[in-house]
Amino acid sequence: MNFAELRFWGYLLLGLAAVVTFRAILRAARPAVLEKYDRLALAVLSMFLLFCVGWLTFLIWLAVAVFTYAGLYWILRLKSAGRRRYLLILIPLQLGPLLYYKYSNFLANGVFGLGWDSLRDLVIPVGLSFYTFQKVAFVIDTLAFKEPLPRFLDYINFVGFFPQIVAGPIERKRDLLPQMERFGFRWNADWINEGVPWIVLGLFFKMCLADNLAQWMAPFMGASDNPFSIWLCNVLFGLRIYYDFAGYSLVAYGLGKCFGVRLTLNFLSPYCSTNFQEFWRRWHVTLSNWFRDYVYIPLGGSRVSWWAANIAIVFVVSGFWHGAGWNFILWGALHGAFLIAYRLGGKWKLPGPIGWLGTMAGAFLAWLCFYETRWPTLLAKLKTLFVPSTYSTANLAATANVLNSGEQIVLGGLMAMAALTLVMEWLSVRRDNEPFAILRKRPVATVLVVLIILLAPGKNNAFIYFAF
Amino acid sequence: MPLSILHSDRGFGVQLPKLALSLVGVGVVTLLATAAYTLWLNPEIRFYLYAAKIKRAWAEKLHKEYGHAIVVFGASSCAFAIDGERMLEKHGLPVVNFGMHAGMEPLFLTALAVESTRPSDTLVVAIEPGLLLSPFDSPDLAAQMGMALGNPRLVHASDLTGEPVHWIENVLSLRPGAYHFFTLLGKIVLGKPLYRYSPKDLRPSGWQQTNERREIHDQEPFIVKSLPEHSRRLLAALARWGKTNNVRVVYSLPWGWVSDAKHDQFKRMNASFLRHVAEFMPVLRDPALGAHPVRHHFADTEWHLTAEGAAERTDALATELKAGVYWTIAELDAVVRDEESRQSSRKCPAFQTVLDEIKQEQTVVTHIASQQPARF
Repeated sequence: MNFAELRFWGYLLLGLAAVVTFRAILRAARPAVLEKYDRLALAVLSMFLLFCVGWLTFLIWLAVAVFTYAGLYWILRLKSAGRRRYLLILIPLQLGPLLYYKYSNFLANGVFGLGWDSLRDLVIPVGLSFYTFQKVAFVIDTLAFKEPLPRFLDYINFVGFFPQIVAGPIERKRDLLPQMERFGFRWNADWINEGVPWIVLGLFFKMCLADNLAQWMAPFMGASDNPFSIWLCNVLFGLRIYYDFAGYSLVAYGLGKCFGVRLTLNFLSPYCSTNFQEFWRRWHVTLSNWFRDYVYIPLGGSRVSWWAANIAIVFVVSGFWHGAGWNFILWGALHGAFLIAYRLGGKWKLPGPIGWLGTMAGAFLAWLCFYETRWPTLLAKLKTLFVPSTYSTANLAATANVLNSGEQIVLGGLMAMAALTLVMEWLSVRRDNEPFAILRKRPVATVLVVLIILLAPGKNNAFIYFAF
Repeated sequence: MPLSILHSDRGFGVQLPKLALSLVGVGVVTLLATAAYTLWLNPEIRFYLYAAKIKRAWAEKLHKEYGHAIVVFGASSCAFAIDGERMLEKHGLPVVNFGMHAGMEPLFLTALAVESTRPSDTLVVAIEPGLLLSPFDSPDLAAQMGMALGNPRLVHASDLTGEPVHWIENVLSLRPGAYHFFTLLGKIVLGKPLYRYSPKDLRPSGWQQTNERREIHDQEPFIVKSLPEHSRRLLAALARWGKTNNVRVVYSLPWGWVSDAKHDQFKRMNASFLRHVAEFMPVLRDPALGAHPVRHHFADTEWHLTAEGAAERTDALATELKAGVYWTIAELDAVVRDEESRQSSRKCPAFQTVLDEIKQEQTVVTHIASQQPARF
């Protein structure tokens, strides 16, 4: 479900046309069933769009969904006293496909060196990490709050609502399920007017910024001994991944709005943060909340003496969620270390600009561990960044000479556009604490539409987080 | 998309989402404006429209005057390398150079050349290995050119491959994109020419030259294990088309600059590439295997020959065409293998034997060529 592809919008329009046609027929023949029809039609539409991504993707999603519901149904029929222990069976089984597709190669070959070649070429089904976490949370919430099992159709809409199924937000039962239970296809101009600027903004983030910036990392990637090239790659990647993932999330949010469904905003302008705690409250909000509620708090949270260990565990696991590799684990560990350091030094409040600089330096340093998957190269690059003598004028000149003057103008233009966008986010945060208030204003949205048409590359790139 | 909404339970008096509709309207108007710019004002497209026009005219002229033509096509490495006038004057060969921009991708380049080829012609494929080894997934420039030429069937070589015309994608590609937008802006601000090349760089036969001189970079050789499926399909379709239409289709490797240090590896890479091409069509026997280490023979990239370099390349191609000598797969495999063994033992008698044979052959071929320069 690549929102940047014309194909997605074609399938969506096709699906909606079918939904409208059947609804019109039904409205004349049996108006009493319209309410149920709407929920059923939404489920079918979501599954159709997921099927268009790939039949295997669809089948795995469906299998995990049905298995989760059936398992929960069975557990809820048992006496309430012994229910929770069955979670120890159900949750690992829910995680089974994720473990197989995402981690089996790393664990079997990378960690234990078993040399199982059949695992090397496994392709992670799109959205597996996201919907698995949402389904796990659904099971825990249902049992923890002793709520009844929702109707199967509502449950399917909760775990399969098409804007969020493949890359989040990882919605919680209490937020999304009630909206699915009363979902209906309605014509509401206000919903559309509210949703479309979010979609425009998301497409601008993805197609103008992320996809264009993505093309400029390659010329600098080879230099392991040049800190300027490495920092430039870090900045390019940091901007790209933010605009890519936030772009997806904003389109999902806008699509939800058009249908009268309120999803969670997954990104709240993280690059405006002045410390790491704030960063993680603004970056991938629903994943951070998931780890807070289902890992950090059960471990004891911040009220216990070993809170630092809890933070470290959460971030290492978070790194491992992002990818099966030592580099991702190191990325998580670095962020954990930054957060622990911030908490330890909490009494000394840094001035805003210095705090912002420190946070950005740490965050962009850590991105190196995210994109550089070759472990020896990663270590070499990290070493380079910490050796003062490598910051020489010769290395600076070498970085400057990688691109010709025309290419420098293009990269400069893109970076300026990204920076201007961040400034507008920062102004919005400062004024209304709503990161995208300015960027959603009518004149700005109009300019963004023009920029999308002018600058979007013809070639579609998949969203980075599809691979997670 | 935002009109995804479905039904009003009130039935009548549906309120329109004016903001959303106005944004869609802005998008449509912008797309129309960018399409108009691309088709009529874009300096790059204007240059290549002119190039296509003169190449087609030269092909037409050759067909009228000689009854047949040799159509050489590829990317800019071809455009800068083959001097049609020299071919005619010095070697008596009626050659038209259909080299265009690499960004147009092999499908378009092929379709454009095929369009000007007639029965009993010779079609010389001179597409760079890198282009045939890459995915054909960025057809924007091809779509822009196809639409500007009024023939969108060229974009995916529909007449050759059977691929349908992708109308929506073609129309949506009529946009500048970030690279074009920012470089154009930079050129306007700095007062530079809006495109690197101008019509005066083109000769009537389609040969292109430039006074631009830039730093060029060494190439990184690698061994080609196989051709991608889409390239195999294209070469197979082209070979079939040649047989059906009585057109001799051959492949000629473009010359690229490579340093002395990487010279042998580069040749080996090219041999490993050619052995796959040879499965579909004859490969002209260029003894240098496309590796050309003379730096001053290259202008602004490692694929753009200067006039001096182009003269050498043109003469070499004339010789090869007249001799009609081709590489065999076994010979190319031997070059790859023997270079491999040389890598390990630093001594390669078999490889040397092949090279010696080629050198002898080249001498003979050159001799034959000098004996019969007038007619092909």
